[in-house]
Amino acid sequence: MAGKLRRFFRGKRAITPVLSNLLLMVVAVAAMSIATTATHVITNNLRQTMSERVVIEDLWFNPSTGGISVYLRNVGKVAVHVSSVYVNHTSQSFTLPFSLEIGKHGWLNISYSWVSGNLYYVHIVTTRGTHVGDYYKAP
Amino acid sequence: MLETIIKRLKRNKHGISNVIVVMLSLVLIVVIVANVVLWSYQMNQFDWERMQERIEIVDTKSGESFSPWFITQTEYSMDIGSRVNGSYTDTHSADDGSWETFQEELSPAPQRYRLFMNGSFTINIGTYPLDKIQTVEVLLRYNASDTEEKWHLKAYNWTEQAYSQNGFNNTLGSQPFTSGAWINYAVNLTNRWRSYVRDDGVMCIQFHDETPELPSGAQTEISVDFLGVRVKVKWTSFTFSNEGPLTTHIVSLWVINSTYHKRYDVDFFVNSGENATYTQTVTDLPAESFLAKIVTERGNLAVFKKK
Repeated sequence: MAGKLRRFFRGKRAITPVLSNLLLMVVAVAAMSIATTATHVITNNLRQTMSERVVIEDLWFNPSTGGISVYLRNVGKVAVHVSSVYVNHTSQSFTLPFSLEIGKHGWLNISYSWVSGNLYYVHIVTTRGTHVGDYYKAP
Repeated sequence: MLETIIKRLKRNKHGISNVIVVMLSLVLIVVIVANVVLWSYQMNQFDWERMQERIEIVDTKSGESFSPWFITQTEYSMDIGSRVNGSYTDTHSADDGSWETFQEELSPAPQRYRLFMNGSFTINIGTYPLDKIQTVEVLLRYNASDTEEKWHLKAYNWTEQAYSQNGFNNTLGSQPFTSGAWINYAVNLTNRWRSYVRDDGVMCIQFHDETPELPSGAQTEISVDFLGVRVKVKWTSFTFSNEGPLTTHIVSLWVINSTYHKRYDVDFFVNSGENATYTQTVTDLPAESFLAKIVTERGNLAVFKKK
């Protein structure tokens, strides 16, 4: 038994291949981890963009505030963050920050002086680029 | 032949790393593509389902109706008098063959036979909000062992801090004509009901005799078969028709007129190919023309214009 151990420690012929194999394995694992993370990041971003769905439940030309109130509902599979609001293709200020978790809903108030009888194209854009909008006639 | 190939492969290791790199890259690409394709498929299915949904509002109606009876959940308390037999649960339903019996007892000096019993009732204000209640009704089904005196129902007036029947449609009381015969005695609190209902929906009802009787007189026994409170509320119903192949989950209801846009949370399912009526007490339909709108969980809308 002691003789075998002595032979094992004296013989150094296979050390280089073992070390190189180990090193190769570490490098391969690291490379795979980086690649997997990159995959996750890339697909996650794409997936979130694909999963965004927002609907306008109601749009109210509110005479008491003089502005436009839009009721939004998040029917998608990711949280929604509104980045811009356009009325007749012109950016308007609104209550910031406006975010909706999955399945949530709420009023988005736009500061815009509307005129009765006029037609407006209200357009809402999220941070991921999803947009929802339509033409609305002020009462 | 196979042996030769295996031997050559074992001997020649030049391309192995290339093969491994290519294989791993392929695996990665497959994972990425599968991930994107599967997610895309899922979202496409969502969009497809959304397109398939066909929900309509067929009709809207409004009216007034009574709630179910609210009954006491605790034993009646006796100011004067005693409980002979039965329990408060025997007064939960009428004409069921079980009742609770009370008896007059002598009051403190001057000693007279009296009966004053009180019960507590809670209106479900979650289902019947106070601002939608039109009036409150109290019904007592009882019999008495003698026909000599009248009996009164009163309610605790939370403003005046006393039992009262002020504003009731009937303040004359009820008098049995035949001993032991069951009598339905109902009172309506008219438009004065609000003083008798606490903000949390609690009402205290008192039932008592009118005439103090001398100790030499009859000690009347009263049996109560039913005592309950109900409210009259305004209701609104919306009839939906689901013409699509999928079950629809309605999550929002809007009532819109020229002055307001009111939104109500709804949790109502309509099966495929079915008509269903959704009734609720918290929606006030405007008297003039209005627009009713519903929103489904998938994000579809349906509108109904009432002229």
